[in-house]
This record gives sequence, C-alpha cells and structure tokens, in this order.
Amino acid sequence: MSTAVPRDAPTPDEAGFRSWMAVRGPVIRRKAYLMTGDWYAADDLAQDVLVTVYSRWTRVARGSNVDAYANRVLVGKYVDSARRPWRRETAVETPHDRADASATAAFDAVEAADSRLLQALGELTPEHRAVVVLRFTDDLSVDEIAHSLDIPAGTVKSRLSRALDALRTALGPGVTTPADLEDQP
Amino acid sequence: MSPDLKDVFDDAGRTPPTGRGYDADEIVRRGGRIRTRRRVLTGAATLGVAAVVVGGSIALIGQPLNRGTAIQPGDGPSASPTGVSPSSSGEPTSDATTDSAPTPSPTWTWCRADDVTLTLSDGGAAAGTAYSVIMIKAKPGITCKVEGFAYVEATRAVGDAIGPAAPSGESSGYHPVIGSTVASFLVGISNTDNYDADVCLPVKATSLNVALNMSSLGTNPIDQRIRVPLPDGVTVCSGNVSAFGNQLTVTPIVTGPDGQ
Repeated sequence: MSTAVPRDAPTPDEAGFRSWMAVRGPVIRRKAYLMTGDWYAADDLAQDVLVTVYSRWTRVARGSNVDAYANRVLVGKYVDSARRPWRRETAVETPHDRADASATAAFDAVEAADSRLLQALGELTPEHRAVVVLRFTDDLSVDEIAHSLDIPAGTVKSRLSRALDALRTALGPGVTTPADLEDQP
Repeated sequence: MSPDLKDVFDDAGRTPPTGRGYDADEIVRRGGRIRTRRRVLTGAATLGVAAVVVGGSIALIGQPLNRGTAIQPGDGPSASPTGVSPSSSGEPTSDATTDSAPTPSPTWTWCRADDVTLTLSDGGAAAGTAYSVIMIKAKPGITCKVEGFAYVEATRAVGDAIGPAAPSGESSGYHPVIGSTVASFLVGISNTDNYDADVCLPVKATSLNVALNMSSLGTNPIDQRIRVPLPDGVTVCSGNVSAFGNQLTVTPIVTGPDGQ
C-alpha cells in the first residue's frame, strides 16, 4: 500500500523560480506561440524552456539576466525543433490529445484570430522569425537581442531587416512599420 | 489610419485557449531531476579526476589523440573508426574552462563542414552513460572558429535521425578557434537500460550527425552535417524519453584534444 507523503516546503531556489515563472511564464508561452504558430507546440516548447531554466536556476539567477537566458533557450529549442523535420523518424505511442473535438475547436478559434500575422510569420525562416518575435514582444533593441542570443549585432540587424521586409510584403500596405524601425539597416 | 506592425504583434496571442498550458509542478519535477543528475555527474567527475591524479596516470590526458579515425564530411557508415581505446579521464564537467581561450579575431569565420575533419574516440563511461570524444581539426591552411555547442543526433545506417538531438547548453560566448590548435567536446549516450523499454523502444544507431555553428551559419543542418560513424553501433532510444532526462548530451566545445 502506498502512503501519500506530504510535500516539503519549497526550497528558496524553487520558490524563487516559481515566482519568476508566474510572471514570465505566460510571456514565454506567448513568444513560443508566435514562433511556432500553434498553441499545442507553444505549450510543449514553453514547458521545455522552463524545465531547462529551472535545471540551471541556481547559476542563472545568481549571475546573469534570467530573461536573456530564457530567451536564448527558447530560441535555441525553437530553431532546433523547426529544423527537425528533415528525414525525421519519431515513434508515436499514443494518439495526440487534440482528438478532443471541443478543445480542437477552441484552439482553432483562437488561432484563427491571429491567422494573418501567423501566416506572414510562417513565411520567415526560424532564425528571422525568432528575432522579429523578440523585437516586438519584448521590445528588445538590436544589441539586447544580440546579447540574448549570443550572436553578432550585425546578424540581428540583417535578420530583422529581412524579416520586416518579408512581413511588409506579406501583410500588405495596410500595415505600417514603427518609425523607430525604419532606421534599421 | 493603418495599423502599426507593433500593434499587430501586441494584439496577437493575447487570449490563449483555456484547458491547457504548461504544468508548473511538472516543470519543477523534471528540472529538479536534471539538477540532481547533474550534481551526481559533477561529483563523479570530481572523483574521476582525483582518481586519475592519484593514480599517476594524468599523463595519459596530455597524449595526442591519434587512436581514432579522421572522418570527412559526408563519409558513410562504412568508414568505421579503428583502434579506439578508453580514456582514463572519465566524466565530463558541465562547464567549459575559458581562462586560456584565445581572443577571436573578427576576421576569423565560422567553420563550415568542409573546413574541418572530426575524429571520434572513446571517452570512458560513468553513471550509466558512455562518453565519446569528438575532436575537431581544421584542414591545412584553414583557421576558423566554432560556437560553444555542436548539434549532435544519432542516426540509423540509412541516415534517419533517431530520437531528439542533444540539447545545447548555455553558451558562454566563448568561441574556440581552430587552426594550429584543435578543439573537442564529449558526447554522452545514456544506456538504454536506464529507461523503461516500452518508452525507450531501443534501436541501433550506427553514426552521429554533427553540425557546427548552426546558429551563426544559419543553414539547414543537412548542408553542414558531418556523419561520424559509431564503432560497432550503439543502442539508443527511438521513443521519447525526455521526461526522464536527455539520452544524448554534449559538453561545450573547448580547446584541446580531450573534450575537457
């Protein structure tokens, strides 16, 4: 017979992480959604990112910018997963839980509201899509994105510029680019 | 008035569907397991290094690695390494030592698959994980740099990837330069016996696909992969065992031949 063991009080580490997750988790989930274009994939991605952040929480919280680290993990995992389809072999043991018709309808309804932007983002490469999502959801500057992703600022500028061009084309003349981005090379 | 692109972004993804999301308790459980495993591995590494020093065999670590076989990009599985012998250096450490890092020149470019040869050799085993050292050597006349982590995944003989790629760790911004010096890293493959066979669904991998500088080159891995045959093959999980830890892991790329 198994006996339920009362859960110990969270350690300071765990409490700190849970506090951070309560505030930043939904933001990470939203960014994951804008990158993947799908709430199911976004939830899986966000969960993976948060697991990684917590697995290194002691060091991350002590010395560096937690959000920058989380962004790096998020983009790394997203780009990695987006590149995966090439000749991939995956063992599927259980049917996807999206078989629930009411849940599917709810998800589809939410995604339909964002479909125009998601469709435009879908035209971008994963790297370009990640940069533009960070730029617009976190309001990060080019330098901040470069620092977050550990890539040169010039690479960020170039990706951002191409992504904006592609978005302008995809979304049509009815959508304007913020004035501060017109200066981007 | 036309909507601003920022406004379009601001409105998107604001109303996530209810009934699903990430599970905070599961995140803490899984993250906690990884932390525990890392502490165990770090402890094992410390003990392993101490044992090497005490045993007076530290000189082995400094020996040039000439026991593997150089692998060219695009090599097939028939080019199997020979003469592999275990290293006495044991476990990897989780962090790269960067004190002796050369200062990268802005003119050095990111290494591409054609710029390097990879050499696989045995890196020992500990705590249910077998380690291999992958040494990266620049071809004559080439000097180039590499990102902190390589993209690594196991493949079948026909080239199909098996299971998830090894997760990249936290990049320190340290980019080893190879030319006159070599760089290396460890690949850990956890024993399939560590997992429930029904979840693991073990299959035999015959090689690793390795790609360098994935982020900086911004290329599809199919263009940059280097196939590294595994001597005699290695049994890996084809099922998703990520809930129990990563079966495939990599350490940061460091300067030197022994992956540490």
